[in-house]
Amino acid sequence: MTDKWKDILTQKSSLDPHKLMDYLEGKLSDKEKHEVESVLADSAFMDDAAEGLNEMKDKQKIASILFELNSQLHKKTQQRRKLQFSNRLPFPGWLIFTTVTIILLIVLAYIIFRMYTTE
Amino acid sequence: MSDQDLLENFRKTGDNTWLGTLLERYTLLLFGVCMKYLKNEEEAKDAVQQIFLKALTELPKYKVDYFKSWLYTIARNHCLMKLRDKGKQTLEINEKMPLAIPEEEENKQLFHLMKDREYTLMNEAMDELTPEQRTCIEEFYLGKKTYQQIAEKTGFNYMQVKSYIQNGKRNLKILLQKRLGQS
Repeated sequence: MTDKWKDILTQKSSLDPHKLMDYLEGKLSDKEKHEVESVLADSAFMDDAAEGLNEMKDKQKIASILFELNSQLHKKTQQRRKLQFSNRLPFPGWLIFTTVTIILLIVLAYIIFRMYTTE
Repeated sequence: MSDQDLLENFRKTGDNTWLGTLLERYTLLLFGVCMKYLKNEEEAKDAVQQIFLKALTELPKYKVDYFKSWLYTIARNHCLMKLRDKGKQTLEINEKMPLAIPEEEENKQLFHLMKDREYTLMNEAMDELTPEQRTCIEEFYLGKKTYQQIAEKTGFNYMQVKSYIQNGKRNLKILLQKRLGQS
């Protein structure tokens, strides 16, 4: 039995983003290029991405775009985390705020009342 | 840590940080896909953020078995909808459509079926491809050549080589599945 065709059906390992960038910037040897292309041929996701990234004239800009997108992603996950935390509190924030304000007003009214009655 | 491990940790703890770590792995690919379809840097960045938001909203609701394929479908559909809104596309989009088995899973299943059989099936299937597809597939998988080298050797352009390899491979899988189903 020959297994010369095995490569077509063997799943290639996923691709390191740095390697993909090196491929797009033409920094790889022919052997490495072939390895990257084998992964691209196996994954429509990666192939579409490689095609799209290739449209960027200034490839150096991609790193700063990624940084910006990832920072925004972290902000979003942190916001949701805070929201989840406040949702887990036994009382909602507005109820705590209103209760504290009412108590303070009562205490203030009592102090004023005492000041006038003692005079 | 695998994608599935990160998803599992999110399910156990409900902590969005796990999803953040998972999505960050795909920022480059998502931006690339959005660039491919939208052809505009600002629109692509905006689309990636919307895809992140959609993923953060949807993932707590459903169990996703093939995260990578799921994310790709979400991204592609989002871009196609954007294009449709701009009047560039008339494709019908349905985000709720069931996801097909991802390619990697399909390859595994096929390889498993092939394992115990003669690879003559593959040779027979190869004969049914178009001459262009057969040439490119042989040069790529047997000759281990790059797309560019194949283009130089055959006279096809880069995109044609890529297309012959991808379409040839897809046709090959269909032919093999048919043959394995018959035998």
